[in-house]
Amino acid sequence: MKLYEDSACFEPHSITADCQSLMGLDGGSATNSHSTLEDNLNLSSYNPHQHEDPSAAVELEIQQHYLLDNTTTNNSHLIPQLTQELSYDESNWDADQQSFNMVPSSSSPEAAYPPAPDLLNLFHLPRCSFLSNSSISFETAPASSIVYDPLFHLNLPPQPPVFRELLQSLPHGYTLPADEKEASGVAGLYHDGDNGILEFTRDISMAGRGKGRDKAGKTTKHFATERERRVHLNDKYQALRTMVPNQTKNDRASIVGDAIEYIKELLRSVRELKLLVEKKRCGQERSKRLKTEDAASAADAGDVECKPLGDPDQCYNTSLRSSWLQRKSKDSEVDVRIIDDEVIIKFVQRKKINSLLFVSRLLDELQLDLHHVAGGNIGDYYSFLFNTKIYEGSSVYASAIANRLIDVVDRQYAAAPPTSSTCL
Amino acid sequence: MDMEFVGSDMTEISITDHRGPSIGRMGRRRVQDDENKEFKSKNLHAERRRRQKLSDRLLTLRSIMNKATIIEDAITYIQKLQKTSDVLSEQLREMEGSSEEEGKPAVRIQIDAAADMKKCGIKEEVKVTTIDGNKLLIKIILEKKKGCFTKLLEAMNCLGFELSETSVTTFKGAMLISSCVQGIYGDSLMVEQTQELLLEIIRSIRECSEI
Repeated sequence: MKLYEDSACFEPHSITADCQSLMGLDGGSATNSHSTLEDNLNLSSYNPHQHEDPSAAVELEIQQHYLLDNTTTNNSHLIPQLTQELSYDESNWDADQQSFNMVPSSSSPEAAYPPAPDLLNLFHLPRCSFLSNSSISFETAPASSIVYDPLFHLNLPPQPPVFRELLQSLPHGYTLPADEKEASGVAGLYHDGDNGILEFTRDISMAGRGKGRDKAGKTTKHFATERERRVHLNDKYQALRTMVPNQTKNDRASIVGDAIEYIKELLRSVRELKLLVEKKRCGQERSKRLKTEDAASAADAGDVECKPLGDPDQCYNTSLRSSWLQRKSKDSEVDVRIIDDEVIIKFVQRKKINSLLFVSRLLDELQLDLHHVAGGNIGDYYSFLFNTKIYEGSSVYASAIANRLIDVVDRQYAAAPPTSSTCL
Repeated sequence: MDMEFVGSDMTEISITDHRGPSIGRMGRRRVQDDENKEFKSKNLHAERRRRQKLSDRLLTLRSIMNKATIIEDAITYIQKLQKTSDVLSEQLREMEGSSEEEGKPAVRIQIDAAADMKKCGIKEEVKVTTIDGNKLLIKIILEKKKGCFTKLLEAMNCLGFELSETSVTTFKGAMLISSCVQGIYGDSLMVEQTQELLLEIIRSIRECSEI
C-alpha cells in the first residue's frame, strides 16, 4: 500500500506520456517501450477476467468517463461520438486479441464496481505519468479531443486510441518528477510508450507489487481504490477552487495558494465585521442612554456625549479598524484597504468604458467622501487610486465595497459594446 | 487564534528563584518560602511541560493529516467563515435602520466647505488649455460637496468628454480637478467653448446642491 500512498504524493500532476507524445514532445520514444509494453500486456493477459466482452467493457468505461465530465450537457452528444469511435477502433483490435484483452481485464474488476467509482477511476488514470512540464487544464473539453487522434492511423493495436484522447482531456498540473521516480521506479520503464491509461497504471501497481501476474487481480483492486481516492481528492480540490473568488490558474498549487489568501481575507473581514457590529451596538446603547437621560434632565444631555471609561455601558472598543481585500475579474481588478475611517481603493480596468464615472457614482452610493483621486491611462488599462473617507455613522465594510465595485464595473464593461480602436 | 498562544502564556511565568531549597537560604522562614516557591516552580514546570506537550501533539496531528483531510478541513473552514461573515453583515444591516446619526454630519460638512473656501480666498475657477492637438488640459476648482465629482463626470460624459490622466485633490472645502480631456468622438475641442461649458457646469452643480 505504501506505493500507492507515494503515488498519492505526486498525483498532483501528471500527464501520461501518451499525451506527451500526442503533443509531439516525445514521439520518438514511443517505439522503444512498445516491446516492453507488449511484455507487460502479455503478463496481464493472464488475468482470469480477460474473457469478458472486451468492447462492451471498454465502451462502458469510456462512456462513464465522459459522463463524469463537468459539462454534463455535453453527454448526450459525446456518447454517440464515443460509440462511433469505438466501433471504428474495434476493427484494429481484432488483430491483436491478446493485447486487447488487456483492456477489459483491467476494466472488468471496475465494471464490477458501481459506476461512480469507475468513472472516477478512469478519469484519473493518467495521473501517474512522468511529464515534467506539461499541464492540461481541467476545462479542456473532451469533446474536442475525441475527434482528433494523430496516432490513430498508425494502427497501434494495444492501445485504444480513444483512451489517449481521454488522457489529453484530463486535468493536470505539473508533476513532481522526484516523487514519481521514487514511487514507481519500475513503472517508469513503460511510460514512454503509447500506453493506454489502464495498462500504464496497471504497470505501476504490478511494479509496486514486484510480482506480475499472480497478484494481478489483487493489484487491480488496490489500484482501483487508489484511483478512486485520487479522483475524490481531485474533486475536493475542485470544490475548494469553486469556493474561492479570485481564481487564476487551475493547478493544485494555485488552488491551495488562492485558498490560503482567501481564508486570510475572510479572517480579516470577520474581524472587521465584528468590530463594526460592536461599535454599532455601542453607539446604539449610548444613544439609548442619551434618550433616557434626555428625558430625565435636558441640561446634562450635552455632557453625556463623551462618557469616561468608568461607565459600565461603555464599549472598550479602541482598536483600530483595518481591513484589506482584493477582487479580480477578467478585465478588472479592485483593491480595497480600510484603516479606521479611510478607505483606499485601487482600481484597474481595461480601457473600454468611462470607468471613472461608474466608480465615482458607486462611491457616492456607499457614502464615501472623495478626498483624492489620481490615475489615468496606462497602456491598455485605466488605473485609478481613490482616497476616501467614510462618513461618520456609516458602517460600510471592505468586502461590501469591493464586491459591489467589481460587480458594477464588470456589468458596465460587459454591457458596453466593443469599441474600435481609440480615435485619438 | 488561540493556538498561537499555547505554550507562550506569559502570565504564569514568575521571576522566582527556581533553584529551590537546595540553595542555602537563611532561617526557617526562608525555608518555608523556598518550599512555597518550589511548589510554585514545580507547578510552573508541570504546567509548562503540559502545554508544550499539547502543542507538540497538535503539530504532529497537523503533520500527519493526509491531503484529503487537509483539503476537506479547508473547505469546511472556508464555509464556516463565509457563514460567519454573512451573519455578521446581516446583523450590521439590521442595525443600520436604528442609527440616527447620519443626517447631521453630512450637512455640517457641506456648510463648512463653503465657509472654509471663503476664508482661504479660494475661488471657483475653470481653466482650459490645449495640449498636443486634440487633448485639452482642464483645471477646475469648485466647492466640494457630496457627489459633486460625480455630477461633473456625468456632465462631461454627456458632452462627450473623456477624462484620461486625472488628479483630484481636496483642500479646505474646495476641490481641485486637473485632467487631460479628449473628445470621445474624435472631434477637436475649442478652448473657449469648453471653458464656458465647464463654467456653466460647475455653476449648476453649485446651484443644484443649494436647493
